[in-house]
Amino acid sequence: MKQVFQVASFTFREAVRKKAFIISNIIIVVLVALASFFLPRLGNDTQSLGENILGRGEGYECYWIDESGGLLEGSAELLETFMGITVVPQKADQLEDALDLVREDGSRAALTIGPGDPPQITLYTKDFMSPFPISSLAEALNTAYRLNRFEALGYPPAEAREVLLSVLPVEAKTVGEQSMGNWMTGIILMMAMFFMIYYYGYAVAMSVAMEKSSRVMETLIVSAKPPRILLGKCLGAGLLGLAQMTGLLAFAALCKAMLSPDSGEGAALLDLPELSIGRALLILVYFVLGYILFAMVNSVCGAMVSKMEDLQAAMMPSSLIAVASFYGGYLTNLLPGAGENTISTTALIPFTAPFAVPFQLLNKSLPAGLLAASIGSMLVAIAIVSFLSMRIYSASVLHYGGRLRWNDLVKMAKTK
Amino acid sequence: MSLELRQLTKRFGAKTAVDSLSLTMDRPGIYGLIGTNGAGKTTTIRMTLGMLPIDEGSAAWNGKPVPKSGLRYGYMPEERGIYAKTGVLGQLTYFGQLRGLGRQGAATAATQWLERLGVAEYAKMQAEKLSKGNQQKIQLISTLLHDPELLFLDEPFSGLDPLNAQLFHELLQDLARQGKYIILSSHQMSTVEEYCREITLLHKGKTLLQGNLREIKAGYGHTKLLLSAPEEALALAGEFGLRRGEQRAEDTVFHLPKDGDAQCEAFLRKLLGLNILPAKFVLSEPTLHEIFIEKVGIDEARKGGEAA
Repeated sequence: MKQVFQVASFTFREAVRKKAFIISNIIIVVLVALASFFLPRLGNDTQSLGENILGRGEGYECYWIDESGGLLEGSAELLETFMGITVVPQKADQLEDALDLVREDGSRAALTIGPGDPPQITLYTKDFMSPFPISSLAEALNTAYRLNRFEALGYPPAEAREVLLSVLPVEAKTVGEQSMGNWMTGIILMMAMFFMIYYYGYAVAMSVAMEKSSRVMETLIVSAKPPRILLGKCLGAGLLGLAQMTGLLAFAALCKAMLSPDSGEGAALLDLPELSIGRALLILVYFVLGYILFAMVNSVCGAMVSKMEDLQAAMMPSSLIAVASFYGGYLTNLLPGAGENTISTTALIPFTAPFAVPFQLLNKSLPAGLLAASIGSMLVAIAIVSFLSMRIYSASVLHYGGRLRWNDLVKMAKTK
Repeated sequence: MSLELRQLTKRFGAKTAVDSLSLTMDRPGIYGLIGTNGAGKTTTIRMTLGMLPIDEGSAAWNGKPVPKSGLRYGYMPEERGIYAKTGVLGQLTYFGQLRGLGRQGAATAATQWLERLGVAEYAKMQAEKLSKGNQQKIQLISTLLHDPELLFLDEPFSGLDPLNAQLFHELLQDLARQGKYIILSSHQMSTVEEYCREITLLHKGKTLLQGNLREIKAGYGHTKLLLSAPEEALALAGEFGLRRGEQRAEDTVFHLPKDGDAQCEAFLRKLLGLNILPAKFVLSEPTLHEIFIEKVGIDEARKGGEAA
């Protein structure tokens, strides 16, 4: 065990000394500080921009082609007065010119109101990302249409107008556990988890491949058994990842306290998560187990090659597994259609669990049985993968020459 | 104390890398494991140290398998393996710790060795910035840090300049005097000849020759006469059955017939009788290289070297 800690300590110290580590940390720290300062304020800017547009009629422009014969009379004024949209009347033969203008700018739209009752209404916008307030426009058109219908039925225009323009105050509240802060933290955590697991797992593979290609391995394995070296490497890189993540989260919390405003929609994006100690520990467990699982797989990739330039190709399968697992977890958490069965499945698959479950832990209660089964499946997978990895690592560290093939690895795994 | 290999065999697929090798080293000194590249020297060391599984036979140090950990042995691999980007003292301390020393003890031992080998000024420097010879010294230090009793040095002299080779030479002699057991593996037979009391000569995994080097050579008797004398003297050698060979800068080599000492003596008497005093008249035993060539034939010896 002493040798495991010696290898871990050396791995940790060597990684910390590397310029790449220092520079990447400086970049991350600067990004976190900038995000803490600007993100909440950007959110507030968006809000005030919206108010300006709606309040002073700036920004949105609608080319208006009305062939209804006055069926929607007053709707253009309604849009200009209440919605702040600039309406530009056009003739039917000017539609193509109007569409050309719409293609250039997402804040423009072209509207055609056809003949007949009810009229066929078509709204053209640049693309699906266009910010043009389609629903507001539809609401204004419907209001104008209903107003005209009421007037045609003989209702007094002023009363009809008052009724149709009256608005009920509706306050939306949620009863679930998900808050904006937890949701954002969940997404950031998923990405950080992927970065840490992938980056530090990759670091283990790099370290193994470097020691093999530089022949340091021959010096090492006469001093310590290969499994101890492997465990020490995984431990050292994992502790570094954990220390880095903890340090960055602490720094982010400090930046949030010192640089972010206390209120506003944008500030809510950076709210600290509401999290019990138990759930925080569970998230830590998932990070540790996920890291060990991927580090063990990656160590085999490192031991398969004799030259550093072969490492990328050797790591392709494990990289694909990592990326697919990440997206499995990501989509499970963020796609609105994902149900309990999907969540349970990703929680039970050892490779997707470290990405899927922490987000769930932040945003909802998971059944204890599911959590136990999920952690159990990861432990079983780690035991199997570690057993195979250590065997293959021990047998392959002195293999030089061409990259090992999969059937070579199978043979090594079978060899005692 | 003794190192004993019995019928050690290793196969890689259909190829037998080491075939039933047995050797015993039962007193301190330097034992030579020699052969061309691919002869099986490194494989033998790796099996002895447990780095490779043994297919047949056994390897024992004091009757027990060579231990994986502890302070008992040191190994300097043929391919130099040090961390290129890591400081010299830092990595030596790490290697020392892995061999059972405490952090402080490893650092102290490393510093002492760095001073002894004249590389203390590079202690803080990244290893990749050192010359090849100095990197080799670092590698040797990592082998000696923990004061091992049994040492395996795989091609320790390759790439060394004459000054560093001399330094290594003195160090090895010193270690041997201190009672260390040193297995020196090399394909440079002149090197082994200079250092080793006993040898095993391997060729394609088979033991070609084994025993006390002096006795082996004595068994061959004198095979050459190295003569430096005027040309008229050289011309007379043929009369005594001496076959003229290579002309070297400082002498001429003559090959002796079997049991040719008597002819040499008669030849020398003849020269002295003619008042010719040779500047050099040396009867020589065959070199290890010549014995090797004699054993396997020149073509086979070349093939062995090329195969590596």
